[in-house]
Amino acid sequence: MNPPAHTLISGYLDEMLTSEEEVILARWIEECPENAQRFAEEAFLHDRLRSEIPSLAALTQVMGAVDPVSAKSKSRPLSRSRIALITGTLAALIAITSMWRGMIGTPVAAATTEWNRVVAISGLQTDRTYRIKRESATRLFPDAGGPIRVSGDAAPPLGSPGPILNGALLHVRGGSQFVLVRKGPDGGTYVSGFNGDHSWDVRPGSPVRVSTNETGFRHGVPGQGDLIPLISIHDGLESLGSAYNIELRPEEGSEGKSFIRVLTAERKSPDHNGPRRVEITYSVRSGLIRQLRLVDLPRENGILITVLLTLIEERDLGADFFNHESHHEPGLHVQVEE
Amino acid sequence: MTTYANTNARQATRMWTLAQPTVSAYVASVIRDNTERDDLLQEVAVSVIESFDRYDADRPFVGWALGIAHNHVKQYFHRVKRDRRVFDLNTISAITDAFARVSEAQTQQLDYLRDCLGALDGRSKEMCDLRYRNDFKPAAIAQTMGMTANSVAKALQRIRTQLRNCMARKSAWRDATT
Repeated sequence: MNPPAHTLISGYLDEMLTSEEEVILARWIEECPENAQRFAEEAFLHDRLRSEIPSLAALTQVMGAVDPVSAKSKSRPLSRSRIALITGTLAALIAITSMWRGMIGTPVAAATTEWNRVVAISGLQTDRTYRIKRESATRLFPDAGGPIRVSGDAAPPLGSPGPILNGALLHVRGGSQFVLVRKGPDGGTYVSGFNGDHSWDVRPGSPVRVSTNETGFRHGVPGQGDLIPLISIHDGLESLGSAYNIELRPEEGSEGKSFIRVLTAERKSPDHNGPRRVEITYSVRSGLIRQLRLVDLPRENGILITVLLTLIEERDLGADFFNHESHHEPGLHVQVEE
Repeated sequence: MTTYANTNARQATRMWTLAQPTVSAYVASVIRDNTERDDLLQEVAVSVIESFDRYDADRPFVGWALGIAHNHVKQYFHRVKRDRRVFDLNTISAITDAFARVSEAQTQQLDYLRDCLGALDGRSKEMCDLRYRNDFKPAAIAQTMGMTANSVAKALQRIRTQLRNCMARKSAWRDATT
């Protein structure tokens, strides 16, 4: 006996159907226009939930229950380098936390102190991996009387085709080392990085390009040229300084093992070339940034994008991970640029 | 000439803004991969704005924009491997027509979604948050909440039904009182 239609539709939306059930659903949709319409209405609600829920501040509190990162990292065996890393991190955390406890005073001071703590911790020599999601984009048409806003991950035309930011992985170590992995429109993998000494770029069908200029291969990455480079989380946040009003939201997640809070930084003046707002969701205990949202980050051609970085992993990536050699076949021609 | 172009661009912008939620829902309903779906929606947005001159104002704009989206979806299906398609082109055509028939009244019901989400109990809110904010699938939600994937899928179905009923009630109440 086939499952009822509403169960099939719901199963499809949650990607729970077997291939046989997908065939049954497809036949049911084709059976009559009423069935297809029922499917469309359910899909409409599903899509609206996808765009509505992330913007609901009231639901932020339940995020405290979500702690997949710590669950993952607990089961991992500790290597010697990781033990050294953790020891160093703990020492720094104790020092920073002691300082923080003594400094709490007014709400503004508390927010600023928390901000400094979170930024300082983001610069520690631990390896973290974030997934980048483009939440929305707005294209300003000065002559058209209003902006086009595309929400629910979509974006309006972004100019010349290039590697796609949405879905990219960003690996970071300390304040400046990074590896950014993006998919290209041709399906190829584009990897760029900075190992603390030189920047590099690996792309399909091209020699490896290496430069001593730290920002050498960041073209096309939102925020370049602004005061908050997306890929240098620590340096970017540190540079916000007095141009933003920092607030600590009152809500605090209290479920699960991880307590989280949200810090926001609102741009004081539109003349500042950074994002309109920065939201940091972080673990109260560790100060680790779990999510970083950059709202209305300027790009070229009058486009503003909102980008969400979500921490998906915290583990030692190995000594060589931030060198280009770890990201391409050996023997590839290396081209050194100024 | 410039004034005409500006007026046209302004009108295209306004109409696309209104049609975009429907087109977005349509594209998302037939393409699973988030990145590919977003890229395709970008392509549709460009095509809609660029070909606005050819839009016949006597016909519904949403249906016209959906037609453009349908063409892009067809091209996408020709490009990708068969195992990445859930529906064939006949089913996709039926779904395209169905989205064009979703009435304004039905769309307006979604204005109550935020209120109805606020009325959910804590556990349902948590589940919605995991599903729609964190983009977790039922198996991952099950792991976090100590349930089975099937029971999460059933709970999500129940929550969506509850939200739909809530929006219908609020909409009926508005119609009765205005």
